[in-house]
Amino acid sequence: MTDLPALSFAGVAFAYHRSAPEVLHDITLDVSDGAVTAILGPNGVGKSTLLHLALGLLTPTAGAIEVYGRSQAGLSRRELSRIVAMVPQNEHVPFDFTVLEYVLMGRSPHISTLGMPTAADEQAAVDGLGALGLTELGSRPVPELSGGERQLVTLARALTQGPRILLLDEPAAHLDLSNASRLRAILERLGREGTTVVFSTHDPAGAAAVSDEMVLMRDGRVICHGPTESVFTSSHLSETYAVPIAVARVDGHPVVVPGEHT
Amino acid sequence: MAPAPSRAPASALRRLWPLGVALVVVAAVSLFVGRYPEPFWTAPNLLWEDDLAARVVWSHRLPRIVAAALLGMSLAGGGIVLQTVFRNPLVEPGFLGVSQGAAFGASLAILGLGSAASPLAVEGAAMLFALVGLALSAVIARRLRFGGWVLRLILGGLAVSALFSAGVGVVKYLADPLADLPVITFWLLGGLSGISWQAVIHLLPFVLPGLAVVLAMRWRLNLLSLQDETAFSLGTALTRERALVLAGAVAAVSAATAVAGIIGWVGLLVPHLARRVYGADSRIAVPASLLIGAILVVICDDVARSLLAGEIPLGIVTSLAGAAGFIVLMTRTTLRVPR
Amino acid sequence: MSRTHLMRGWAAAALAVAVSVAAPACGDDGSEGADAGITVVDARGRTVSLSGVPDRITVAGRAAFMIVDAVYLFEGAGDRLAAFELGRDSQIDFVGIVDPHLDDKQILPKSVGAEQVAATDPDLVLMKSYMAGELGEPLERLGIPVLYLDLETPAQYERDLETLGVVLGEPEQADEIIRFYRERVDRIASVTGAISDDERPDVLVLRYDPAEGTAAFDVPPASWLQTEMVEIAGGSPVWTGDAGGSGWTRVGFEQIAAWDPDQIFLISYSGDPAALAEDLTADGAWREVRAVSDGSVLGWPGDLSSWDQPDTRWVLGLTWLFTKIQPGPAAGIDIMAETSDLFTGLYRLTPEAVRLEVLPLLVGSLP
Repeated sequence: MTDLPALSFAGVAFAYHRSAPEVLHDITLDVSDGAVTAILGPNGVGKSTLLHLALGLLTPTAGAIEVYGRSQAGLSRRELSRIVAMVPQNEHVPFDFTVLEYVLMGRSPHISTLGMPTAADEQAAVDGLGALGLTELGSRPVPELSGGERQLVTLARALTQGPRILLLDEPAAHLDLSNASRLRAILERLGREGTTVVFSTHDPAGAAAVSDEMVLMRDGRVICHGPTESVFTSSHLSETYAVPIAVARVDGHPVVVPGEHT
Repeated sequence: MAPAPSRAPASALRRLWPLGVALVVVAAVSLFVGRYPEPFWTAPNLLWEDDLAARVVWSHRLPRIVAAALLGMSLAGGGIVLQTVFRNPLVEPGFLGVSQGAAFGASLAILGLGSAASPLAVEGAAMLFALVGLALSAVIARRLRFGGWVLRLILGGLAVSALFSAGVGVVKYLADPLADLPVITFWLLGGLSGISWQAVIHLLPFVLPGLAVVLAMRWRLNLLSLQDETAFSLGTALTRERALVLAGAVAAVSAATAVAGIIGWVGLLVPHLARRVYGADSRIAVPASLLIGAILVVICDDVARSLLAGEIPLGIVTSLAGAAGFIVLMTRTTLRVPR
Repeated sequence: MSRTHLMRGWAAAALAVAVSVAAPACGDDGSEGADAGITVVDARGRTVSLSGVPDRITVAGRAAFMIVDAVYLFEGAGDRLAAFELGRDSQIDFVGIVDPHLDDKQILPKSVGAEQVAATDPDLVLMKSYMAGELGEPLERLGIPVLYLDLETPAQYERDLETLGVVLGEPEQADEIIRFYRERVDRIASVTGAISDDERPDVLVLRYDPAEGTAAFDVPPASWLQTEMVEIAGGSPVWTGDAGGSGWTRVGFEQIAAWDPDQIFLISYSGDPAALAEDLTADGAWREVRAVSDGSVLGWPGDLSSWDQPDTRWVLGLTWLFTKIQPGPAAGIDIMAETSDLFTGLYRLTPEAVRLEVLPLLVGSLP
């Protein structure tokens, strides 16, 4: 863990077109290196957009983003892809690639445009599957996997990139309780191993269980950011979701109880 | 020292060898199939007993077979590239305005340049308009407000294809009083009856580099088939890489179309066959498609020139084979078509 | 990358082998026997050299029947024909009338391929110029002599008949045949040349094929023989300004009415043009057109071959047009006698044969 923030947003704003209204306003925040950070907020607040900006897929209309102290705009796509990997919310795979072929695609940042994967790359893919306990899925076609399996396989692909920063867009959205818990365990382990994890979610309790830091968003702005213990409070959450929310602990695990919508 | 290429390509070569051998065998057998001196089979001993038979085999059949193989490779290569890049298993060069644009460009060049029309200029014009056709199909598809992406691309492509087909008709019927252009049935149904070694040699500057680019980028094609978000996250220069592989595919297809007319269904069926047998990984599916495409078109051209005393337009034979094959394939397997 | 290299290597090697084998086989184009032989320039400007008068001639390609009918104009030339491509039964029937040995000949199907033509073992292949790319050049590459003919306009007719005469070893016959045509054309042109535009009736030529639909009327391009014949016959074609095209161009009823011709000549390749002309005259909708209500719609005649096409009968078509467009100056001409003259004179049929086998098959508005 270094002192340099993994990601640093300074006064970032974003609009989809020149004439369209801004969806993100004046975002200034640092994502600590090696921390697991959760982004929370109501639907449509711009969580995905924020992640896409962190990925470099979208360019800010104002402000600047730095990745480990270097300007994101100055990094080539290949350099960026060696540092940042993303697990999208819904990954659609149009052809019957096997899981292993699919995970192998994660090695692409290390392979030139006209190049082929090497034996080392193939091994990295196999290892990547193994690390998540997915080896037996290796020769199954990706489109035939269940939602949970597919999410984990996508994660394996992202990890095969060997990134320092891992972004996940609502990773537990389509997972049942068991898979969601499995995913949380993986994210926790990644955090301990030094990977910077940033994920967006609709599940404040689950987020609190696993994250070191939290970012609360409302109306396209960051209204609160910091260590989970200080951010994860009733008042902050109620302000974020515009619904009274009570925070409690059951057997040591954080629990949220939404109240009546006024 | 560079790391050794993965074991996968080695085993890929092993799996593809039978196809390569099959192509050579089919080509060799095709040399003895024709209408001279008798329908269908030419006895090999005639090669040294009959001068004309020797000329028929070497100057007439062999260039046709080579051209058919190159044509098949180009169409199948174009098909798998289009299907992968557009994430749409239901497209091929003939559905996205590529073949029709090429025919239009070629006929325009022949007519416009007249006697100054060198084969390379004609093929260049074909490639230009093929690219225009492809771009138009994609642009229109993006603007349609009906159905999912797969459907929209097919609709946009159909419209552009029809536009350029009509364009060929216009060029032929309104602007060709001296009949410089081959008849409209040549363009719309295709044929290799006029093929010579010259024509084959003129194909090479477009087909070989085009297919070389497609082959070199075959692993990259896997990435390009994923959604933009993912491909970007994997470090793919989406626009540039798509443009490169599409340019390679279109170069090959347009040159082949300029020489042989619009041949349909090969580009649609062959990639499906290749993926079904060899898996979806383009590292193997692409070379497999090229080889299967070559074999298919060589056989179709054998039928076109030998079955009857009269030449059957090649496009009719490939349509029969391709469409029938497609129906069989589609009704017996699950086709995953994204919305 | 081995896959790419492998394919490139295979392609290059195959090409090298093939070209080195094929190269010596290309390039000989019937250039043997230049001293004792026949040399002639064909319609595409190619110099064709033959070692002698060909014994086996194959005629192939689209509109081959026009060439076949032209060859039969030469006495004895029919024996040299070995195979020809004929599409319609009527075309085959006509050859049966002029050639008792039709059964010895091979009739090829439409769009016959180069190999099949080669299989007929020809000394010479005849075809229309526009068939060069599709059929002619592949045959040339096989070393089979090919001669191209146009036979589309009166001028081309004379030139190509002369070429045929040299090739068939009958240059004097060619001169006689050319004289036959030229006399009849000159007889008309010398009169109509003096007729001013005002005195020329407005003429419309329509092709009508009921099988294609009840409103399927086409006009011929300005460059075709039908248009030229109308002009030579003393008429003024109304459609040439508007219809550009390179083939039959479909026109609608409104356009026909707008042209307002004085006379309409109806061509049909399927069915009796005279009967069709009558149907048109009786049709209520067409009464709007002046030529129809005046009863000036006539069916273009033909025997087994319509007299509008650049087949050997075009001169009859021209003569008939003359008698209808300029009846005054054409007063002395008996079209039925002209018809008999062509078949007895050019095709050497007996008057008996003409009376029994040709005249009964005539269609169109005759006399």
